[in-house]
Amino acid sequence: MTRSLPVLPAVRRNRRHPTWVAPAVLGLVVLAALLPDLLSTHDPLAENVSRRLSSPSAAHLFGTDELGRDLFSRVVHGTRATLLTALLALLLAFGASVVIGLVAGYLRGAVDRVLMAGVDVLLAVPALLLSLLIVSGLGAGPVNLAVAVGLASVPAFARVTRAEVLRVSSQPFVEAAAGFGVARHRILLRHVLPHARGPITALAALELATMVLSVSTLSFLGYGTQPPTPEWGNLIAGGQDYFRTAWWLTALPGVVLACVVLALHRVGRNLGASEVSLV
Amino acid sequence: MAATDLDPGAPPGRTWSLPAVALHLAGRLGYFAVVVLAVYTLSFVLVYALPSDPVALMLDRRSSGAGGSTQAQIEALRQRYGLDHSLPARYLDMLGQLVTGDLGTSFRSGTPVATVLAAVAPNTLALAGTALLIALPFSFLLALATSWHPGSTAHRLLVNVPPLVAAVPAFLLGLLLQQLFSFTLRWVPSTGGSGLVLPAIALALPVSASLTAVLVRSLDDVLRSSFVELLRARGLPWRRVYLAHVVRNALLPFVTIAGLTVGGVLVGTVVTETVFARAGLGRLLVSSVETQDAPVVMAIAVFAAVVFAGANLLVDLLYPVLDPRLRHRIAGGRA
Repeated sequence: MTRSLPVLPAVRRNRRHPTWVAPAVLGLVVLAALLPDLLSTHDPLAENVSRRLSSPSAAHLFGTDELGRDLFSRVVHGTRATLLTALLALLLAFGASVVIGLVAGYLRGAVDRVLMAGVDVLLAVPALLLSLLIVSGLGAGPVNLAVAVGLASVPAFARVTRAEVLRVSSQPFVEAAAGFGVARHRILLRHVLPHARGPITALAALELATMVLSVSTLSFLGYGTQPPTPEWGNLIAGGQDYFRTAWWLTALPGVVLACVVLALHRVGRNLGASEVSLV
Repeated sequence: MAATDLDPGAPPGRTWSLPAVALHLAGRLGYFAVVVLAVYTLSFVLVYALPSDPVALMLDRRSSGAGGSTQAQIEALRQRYGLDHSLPARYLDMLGQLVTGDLGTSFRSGTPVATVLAAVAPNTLALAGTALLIALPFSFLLALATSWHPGSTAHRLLVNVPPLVAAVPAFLLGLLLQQLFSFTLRWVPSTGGSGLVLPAIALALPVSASLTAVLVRSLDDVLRSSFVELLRARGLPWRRVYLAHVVRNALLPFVTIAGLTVGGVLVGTVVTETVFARAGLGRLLVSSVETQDAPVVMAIAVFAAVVFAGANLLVDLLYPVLDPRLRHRIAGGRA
């Protein structure tokens, strides 16, 4: 196996950065996803043709779009669609790869070799291509998109999970448990899994960042939540037609998106994950 | 290879034994074949085994407004595209055709897929190639500059650049570049095939981010190893320690990721071509996925697989050249 993923090394924490910014950004995002009406200033679907394509101002923080809808409110209301899709994708990837990683890392032998051979082959395929193939089979829509994005990241995720399980399994207390005659599945669930949890959780935060990016990319291409329901990717795609004159339609949702991805990265790193993700 | 003589673990040169090398080559070629076959199988399963009926879709599109089609016409179409056979039979048939270079017929246009691909593939290959030519040296130099003095202010600042760039979605990067250089500064035309540089940069930037991050990390790892200290203690100038020893030892992960990057760049054209409205394989894939033009989707997927698995194969073959330890292992020595 020549190509294994870079796996969670020791992490140097950078104490220079204030640690509250990223959680605060994520808190706002969660608030926007749960209670969008609390943050938004206008109805995200209300059209007002007399104020179409007006630039950001006190009345419209992010300006308005081609139908006079308030962009800030649309971004706030779009949070839920983006985040839910990404979370669903994460849940899928997480579930599948924890099972694969646990089974492969604990049973080892032939099972491990077969599973990891499959994972290695899939790792060579760019995630976006996998996602597009899955979307072409399932069709567009937020749930299918979540499946596509989630499954596409299973290989990388499963590799890290397995490495973690292998590391924990080689420790004396697991051997001791086996020596006491504890059943295999019980060792796996009660002894190995809890100890592998930390690095896997940190990876999950990083993966969520990747998934927010992938989800918005595929939505941008038109495979996700369909307009007029706002979603970050489709908001930016919609603004593309006007961006010559109305820069805010693409730039501002984009900045919000990038900030959220950065915040997720920061949180993942503070939890102890490595910062390197694959292409 | 005087450079590695001082490094621990570098065994003396060894003669190549032909069978060992042949075995190594066969293994790498086998892996290449498996990856391509896996992509073919996966796309076949996803595109054909799912319940949607391409003929119904095709007739929907063609006969919108022109009245229905008879059962006989539907059957004729099914036969023409081989849809009347069972799935396993089609899987093998198509695989056989693929090996002989027959990519099938597009559902949407009715023209051979090979013609459809050949029309746009040069565009995409030029774009992806230019992006690689930008990304590889750029990220290499940026990483070298970042790790030159570990712990310096420059290091601390530059090390944050890759994650920052990686956080910006590729499509947004493309849009912003276009906005800045085409509309605000008016340096390059906004659309059409004439401007290759701007899309190539938009495609190269996200890729460079991960490449740089990987190289910086492996440089930093090597910098901590004891042989670096030894070389410095021996009084070798830092420039020489860094360029001849540290960089060389840190190169392997970079080359690995560079190989993976080829796939990333090729598939990244999906986004870049959409943003810059360029004709190419990426945009063709997007529209074919939308219209469920299965033969085109499959052909593009397999083509991409050949390219990125080929790149990985190349990287694998490059390893022993770069790393004498590997050469030793392949030649049958103690690992």
